[in-house]
Amino acid sequence: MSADQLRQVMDLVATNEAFSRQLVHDLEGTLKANGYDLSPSEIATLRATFSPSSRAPQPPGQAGPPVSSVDMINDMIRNQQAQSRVRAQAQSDRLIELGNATLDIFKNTLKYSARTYRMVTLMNSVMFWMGVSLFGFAALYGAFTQNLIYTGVFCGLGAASFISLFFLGPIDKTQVALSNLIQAEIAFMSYFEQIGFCENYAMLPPPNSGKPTHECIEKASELLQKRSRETVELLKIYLGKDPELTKPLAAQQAAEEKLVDAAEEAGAGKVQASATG
Amino acid sequence: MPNAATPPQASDFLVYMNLEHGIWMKYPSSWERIEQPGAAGFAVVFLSPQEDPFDEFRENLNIFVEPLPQPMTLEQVVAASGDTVLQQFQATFLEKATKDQIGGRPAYRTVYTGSMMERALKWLQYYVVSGNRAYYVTYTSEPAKYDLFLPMVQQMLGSLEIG
Repeated sequence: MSADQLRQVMDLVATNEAFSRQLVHDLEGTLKANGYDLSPSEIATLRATFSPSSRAPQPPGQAGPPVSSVDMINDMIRNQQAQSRVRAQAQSDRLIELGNATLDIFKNTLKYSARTYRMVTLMNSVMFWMGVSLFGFAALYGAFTQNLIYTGVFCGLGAASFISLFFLGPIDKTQVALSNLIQAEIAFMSYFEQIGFCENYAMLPPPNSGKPTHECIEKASELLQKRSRETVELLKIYLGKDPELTKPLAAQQAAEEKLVDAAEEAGAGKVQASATG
Repeated sequence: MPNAATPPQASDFLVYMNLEHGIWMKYPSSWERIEQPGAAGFAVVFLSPQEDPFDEFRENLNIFVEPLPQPMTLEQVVAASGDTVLQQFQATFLEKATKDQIGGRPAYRTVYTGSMMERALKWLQYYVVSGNRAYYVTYTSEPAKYDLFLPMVQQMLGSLEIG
């Protein structure tokens, strides 16, 4: 019977604000006034139930109980601040590390691209001068030996090197390939930056909340997946072998170049008009 | 855009009740509650939400309950605490202790600034004596955010009951 009363009191505490407020002021008086007759042990149980941490042990890792109110409060706040600081530092370190890594990758890409471009340019110069030399040699060989077959062969080899240089356009192709490589690199860098933004978004507690929410983490995850898909698409375009994929980009670039040309022409027209006017 | 100090809806409040120490108060559900008993008494801290990952100091409202070794008047408690505050925080009083009321009991209220853990802070503190216990109800904030969180803290203090 009394156990039922204890349960009823606990239910009432949970549901009746005025009753629970009154209990704080006068526990036994309020119980009696509301018709509850609890034994001393039940009152002790009630008191312990609604004072859950009053006799809790010290958290592990502490040297000893704080000795004053200021120490106690400071201790609690210090722990909380230390946790925040560790979290912020870890996140900051990760972002810095990621930033440095992407920057290093970009620098290396530029360095290797420049080296490759120089090498290809050198090889093309060699081909050009070889072509010139073959023409010259063919002319001299023909003049001295009158052997038209060998003269034709040397002349043909010289012409082949020119054709390969000017018509097949290896320099242009190299430039495009390197440009695509750098654009792929920029796509990568952008993706890494997005990872940082998404992480920040996921970890940021929303207004009126002390902790990151599942909604924020889920949304950040979705954003990251979307960015991943976009980056993969970009990489397919920049690094893919299918030339069809590069058409939209090429068209876009061409349109942009046209706009720039048109703007330049308009500017030149104005200058001309003002000069003639 | 709402921020961490935006007053929540009534339904977003939780009730904190401690029968052992005679405390009843409502606090926003988004605030973190930490309780700690110690040799000097009992403390409960309500920490405001972290505003961003780099927010190192969370504004808080704490209640410290100190058992008095001998009967003391409220004025004696206030005088003793004032000395402690001056020593601990190199405090500058913006409002000297004045009579007020909190938790349905007579109280003294004071506002001061000072430094704690090499951080400039501002405090609003209430002193209450009930029976053989002294209650220190303190709102601690970075000076720049003091006014931002004050309305919320006042709502919490308005609901406080001290037994």
